[in-house]
Amino acid sequence: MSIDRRLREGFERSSPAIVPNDQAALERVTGRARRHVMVRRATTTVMVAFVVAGVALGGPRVLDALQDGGRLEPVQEPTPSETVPGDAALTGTYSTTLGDEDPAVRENQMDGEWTITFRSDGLLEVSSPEAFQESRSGYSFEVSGDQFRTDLFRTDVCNDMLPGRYSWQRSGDRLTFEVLDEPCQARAALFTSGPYVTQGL
Amino acid sequence: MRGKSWRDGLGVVALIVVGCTGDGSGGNESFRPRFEEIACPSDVEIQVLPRHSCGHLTVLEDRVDGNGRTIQVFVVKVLPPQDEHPEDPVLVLGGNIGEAAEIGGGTQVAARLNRIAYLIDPRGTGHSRPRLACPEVDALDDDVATALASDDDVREEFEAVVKACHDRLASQGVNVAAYDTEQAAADVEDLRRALGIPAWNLGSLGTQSRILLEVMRSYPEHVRAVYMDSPEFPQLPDPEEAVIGTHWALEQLADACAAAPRCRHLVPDVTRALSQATTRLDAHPATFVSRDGAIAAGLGQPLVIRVDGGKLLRVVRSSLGLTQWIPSLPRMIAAAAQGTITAPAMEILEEDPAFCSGYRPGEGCSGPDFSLGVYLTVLCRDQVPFVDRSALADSLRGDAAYQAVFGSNPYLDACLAWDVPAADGVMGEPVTGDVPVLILTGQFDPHSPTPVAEEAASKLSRAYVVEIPGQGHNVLGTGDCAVSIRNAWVARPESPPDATGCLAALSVSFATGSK
Repeated sequence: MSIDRRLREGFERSSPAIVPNDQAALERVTGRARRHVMVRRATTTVMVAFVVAGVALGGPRVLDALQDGGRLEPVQEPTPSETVPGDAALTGTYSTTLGDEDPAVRENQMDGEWTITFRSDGLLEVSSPEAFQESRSGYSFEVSGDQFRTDLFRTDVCNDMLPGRYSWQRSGDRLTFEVLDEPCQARAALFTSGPYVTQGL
Repeated sequence: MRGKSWRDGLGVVALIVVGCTGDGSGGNESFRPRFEEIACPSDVEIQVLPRHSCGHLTVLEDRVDGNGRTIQVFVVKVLPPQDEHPEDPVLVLGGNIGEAAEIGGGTQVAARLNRIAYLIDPRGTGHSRPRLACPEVDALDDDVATALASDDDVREEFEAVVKACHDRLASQGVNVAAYDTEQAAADVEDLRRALGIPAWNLGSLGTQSRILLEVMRSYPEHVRAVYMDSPEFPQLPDPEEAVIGTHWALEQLADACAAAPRCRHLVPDVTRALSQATTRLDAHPATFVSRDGAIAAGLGQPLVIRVDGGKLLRVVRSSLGLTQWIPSLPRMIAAAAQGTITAPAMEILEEDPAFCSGYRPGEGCSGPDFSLGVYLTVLCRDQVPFVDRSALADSLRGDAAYQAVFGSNPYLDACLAWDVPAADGVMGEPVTGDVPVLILTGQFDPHSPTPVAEEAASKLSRAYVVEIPGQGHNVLGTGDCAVSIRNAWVARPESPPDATGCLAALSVSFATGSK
């Protein structure tokens, strides 16, 4: 029987179990959806700001690229970036506990204990509270002096958003971040809600 | 501190020439595809944090009847964090037909699969050159937004601007017919050969699965494993799947709502409520004023947006594909049955490019990441010629809204203006073979209904289908479960997916409050 025929005549479906309503969860989801539209607009604004800054700093070469639809001409030796994945000064495992004061924390069920390992290869290992079901693997960070960038949650709660940029400071066993550019409220809440405390290298 | 290893990038040798015949170039022995490393464009540098590099592959625009004109396909290579990794990389087609690679969201796959990942903008899209954008059609956004779905005039306008785009590209020397599925698949094979990769894994997110499936059909010997998130299949043209998928997804929604007491209380029968809503809106269209939406903002003036049954149906189909909107759908339908257009529907309608939502999945129907010309060539050449018009008419079930949206599908008329010849019949046939395949679908996705995936999987000897509860289109972009299943399976593709324990914890929680 063809797909078309089978579907039109009514096929058997294996309907997954549906759990009872959870008002808190649905408010989180609908809130995120509304925020998603606003964030898309904000991200566009941030992207434009980055491009403008690039033109100002990069000069004619970047301008030429933009005029050519963003494509740069082939070069034999690409110029290495100054930023690096990972950084010895930041490498290690840190923990913090998020309260639920921040709306982004509440919307994404992020309250609880978080542990982040900043690996020397530029990868983040993230352990989250159980209620937070978004993807936590495969995200990166890079360090340039006292600045830090990360794409954490890029495929989930920070979908379609540019990486966030922070300044960072380590004092004793404490690690703190301050937002420089960050389109994603959930990520900002995670990094800035409280100091991270070293768990060991 | 360690610098980015550009020499670990696309290769020390900046120019690589394919040195064999019998390749993806379709037997054209006078031409050798070549790969060149280039500096990454600024938007890529902003988004991609792991070690990476960029390049473009130069290929023939038309491998069969071409005049030697060449085009460029843009490629990003992302390295996994660990230096030790399997030799077989993964190539990811990260979008729907016509879309550029989802660069920022695709880079994580290298770390998640511990493999080198190649992301490409398929021919005609993104940073590939030429890019088959249609700004002529973008100019129609406000006309479509303010018109009813049943408005024949706006469909005629759409056909006219599609023709204008086609004729402009043709006058620039672009062979628009060459931006089809078969040629895009040959680009993938040419890239593999140019880079000297013996075998690789393939992944797709969305309807670009059509390209991967064509690679599986034509060049299976170099494919280790394939995963597809929310795919389409060649044997079912999109105009038919639109109706089938929408009916199926609405039944899924109705069942899920009926199983949740509060949702059932709010909307006892979702499909009946939708029918009431579309009938009411056809008789008495609703209106609202958009001031902040993208289209109004672009015009610099408010827009009066009108909503009839067909437009509501388009919004519903679009929302079923967007996981974040699914919980509020029953409430939105119930409100529409009372003649009220609620905020989620309004937001979709006031942001919607011409004939996007309800026809094409995803949110990126316009802007620099979407090339309507590629979408139209694949649709008009590889799908519309294989539409069973009689079956399509039957599937509408006499519903006026379905007739307005899918029976009078503006893209069917647009294909008369987008003048490309029909593809060979094989392009409408199922793909068979023994390459291991993992297919991931969303419980409510009207663009990639699970039964269609199961039917397609039955033609493949080692294909597995996993439906992700509570999800719409693009399940790898929402939550960790599908990602974990994919990651584990790619490591052992000869076995069925076994990391599916997380599925039991997933569900949908419907919004039933007053807001």
